[in-house]
Amino acid sequence: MLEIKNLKVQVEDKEVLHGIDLRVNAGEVHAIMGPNGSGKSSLSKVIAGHPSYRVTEGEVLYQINFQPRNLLELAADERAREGVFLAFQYPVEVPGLSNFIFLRSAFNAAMKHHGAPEMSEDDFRQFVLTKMKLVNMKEDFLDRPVNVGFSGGEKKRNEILQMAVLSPRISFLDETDSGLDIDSLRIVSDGINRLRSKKNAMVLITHYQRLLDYVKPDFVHVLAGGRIVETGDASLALELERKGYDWLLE
Amino acid sequence: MKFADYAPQFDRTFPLTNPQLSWRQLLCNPQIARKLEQWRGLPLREVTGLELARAPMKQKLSSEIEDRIRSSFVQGFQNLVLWNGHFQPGLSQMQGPVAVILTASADENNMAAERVELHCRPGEKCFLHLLSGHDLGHHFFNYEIDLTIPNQANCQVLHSCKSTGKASLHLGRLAVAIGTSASLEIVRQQDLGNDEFDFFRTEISLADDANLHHLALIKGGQLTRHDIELRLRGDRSLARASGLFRLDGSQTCDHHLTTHVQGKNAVTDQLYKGILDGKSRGIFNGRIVIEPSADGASSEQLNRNLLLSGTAEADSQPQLEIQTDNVKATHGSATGPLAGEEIFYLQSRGLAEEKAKDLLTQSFMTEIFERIESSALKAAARNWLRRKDAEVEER
Repeated sequence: MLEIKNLKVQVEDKEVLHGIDLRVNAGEVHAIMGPNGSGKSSLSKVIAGHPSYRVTEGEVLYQINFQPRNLLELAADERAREGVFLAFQYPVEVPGLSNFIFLRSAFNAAMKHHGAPEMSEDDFRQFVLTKMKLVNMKEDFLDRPVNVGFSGGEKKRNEILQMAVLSPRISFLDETDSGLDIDSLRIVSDGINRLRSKKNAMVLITHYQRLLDYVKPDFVHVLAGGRIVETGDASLALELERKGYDWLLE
Repeated sequence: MKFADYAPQFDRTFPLTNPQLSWRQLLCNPQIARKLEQWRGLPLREVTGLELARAPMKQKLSSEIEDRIRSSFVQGFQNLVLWNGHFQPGLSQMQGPVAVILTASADENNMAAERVELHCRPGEKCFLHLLSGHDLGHHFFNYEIDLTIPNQANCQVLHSCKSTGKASLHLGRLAVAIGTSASLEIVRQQDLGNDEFDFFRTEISLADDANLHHLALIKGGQLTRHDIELRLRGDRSLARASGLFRLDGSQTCDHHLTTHVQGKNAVTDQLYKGILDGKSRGIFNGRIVIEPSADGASSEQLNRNLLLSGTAEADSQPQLEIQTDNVKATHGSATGPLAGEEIFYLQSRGLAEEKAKDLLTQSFMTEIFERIESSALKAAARNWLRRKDAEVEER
């Protein structure tokens, strides 16, 4: 589904990714772990098309209509409409824009792109209410401004709600577990698990094993110094929890 | 005749009852006014050089114009019409909770303003729609409206300023006295053409426990100057003032707001926002004076401007003058473009960059509309906004 080849990236003339190779197939869940400043969030933002990052080398092949296409040639919004999703580490607050209008505009943009009719306001409200149950959100969140006045946990749930509404093919979840209490972590993890299918793929970026207790990854990668330095199965995360990262960086 | 050539006549005949010095300066000698602080930065040369005729004597309007005016009436409101510089009793709904007295007619032979007194009847809830405008090009119009809201009355006013878009100059003044425990919510929505000049002055005084919300919505006109003077005379009086201008091209809008807080425990809360595109220029000059008598007063003032182009300009001057202790006062100003992170966030959800910017611009305005308490006025304001959006899309 997605193949990253020798990806080198600069931000403000400083190289932050020094040649990333990663292949993600449909149905797989990958976890990327690594010390602070290793480039995990940069990787997810580059895939989503953040304009601050400049790709200097490499490509990101992504299947669109059964053909591999270099994702880097598409604008951020085009990538999203083709099913690429980034759950933000720090979801952005948008005063004045209601969650409902935001979600419906995004959903209808994708529908239009795929040649499907837009959903009416009433139908969309019913649709989104079913999705809100996945992350245990109350209806009044729909009419509040996007992420404004939300607690840390509510913001992360709102990200998963957007993911549920947009049904992306590949999702990068950037530290979705950070700042969550035990109950919120369980709710968010349950939501992620329910959205997991053989048709989509997920890349979880995390510092901690605890998210992986709920969402079992097929592969775990360690990103350090802008490179993937180790890849293994779920047991690698347990090993990292015990031993830290130093043994991989020596 | 150029506007500047009429100037000497204003000194004798323009009957402003409580004119600020700056208005006298402009009207009596616009050539000199250009250099004064009150008018600094405004393209007054364009005004003084305008070829303008005085508003003609009152004439019957064509049935087409009358139909257009009637189509702008707001259901549930008492609709009063000032058209082509004259009050139009035949078109206006004279029966209603607001009594109307025409006290002076504009005259072709001098600079006299059309003057109308409006009196809300005590104990009644008044919904008033003032519709002012014209269908004549290259004229100037002046009118004055005095509105009295008696004790404990409740009044909602929509003031729509419309035109056919032909170059003209509007001089207007609205003076309001709000009685004890009375309340007023007023929305002035301007909808002028790109070649028009609008100089409007609002003076509002509040008695004890009076409550006001004043909102100015401005989107048209080559040059708009809105002077607002609020006097919180009464103890515990509350004045909320809001404004929104949405400019593009080479339009200029100047909000000049002066607030005198005089009553004990009086409160004022002010939010003015500007959205500027093209080479437009927005000015906010807000001065709050908390006078020695205003023990326990509180005031908040915020001006925020959104620059949609690199050539638009916002000048913001919030000012606070505190003449007593035991008060709470804050003020602030912020100007900048749309936040890149917000645009990216919306794009990352599949919204095209233009759509993302449009939604964020709408969101910027939402706070202003949420301040409107009356559902009828809120609906009218949202209609005003929708018309503006349609114009932007057409372009």
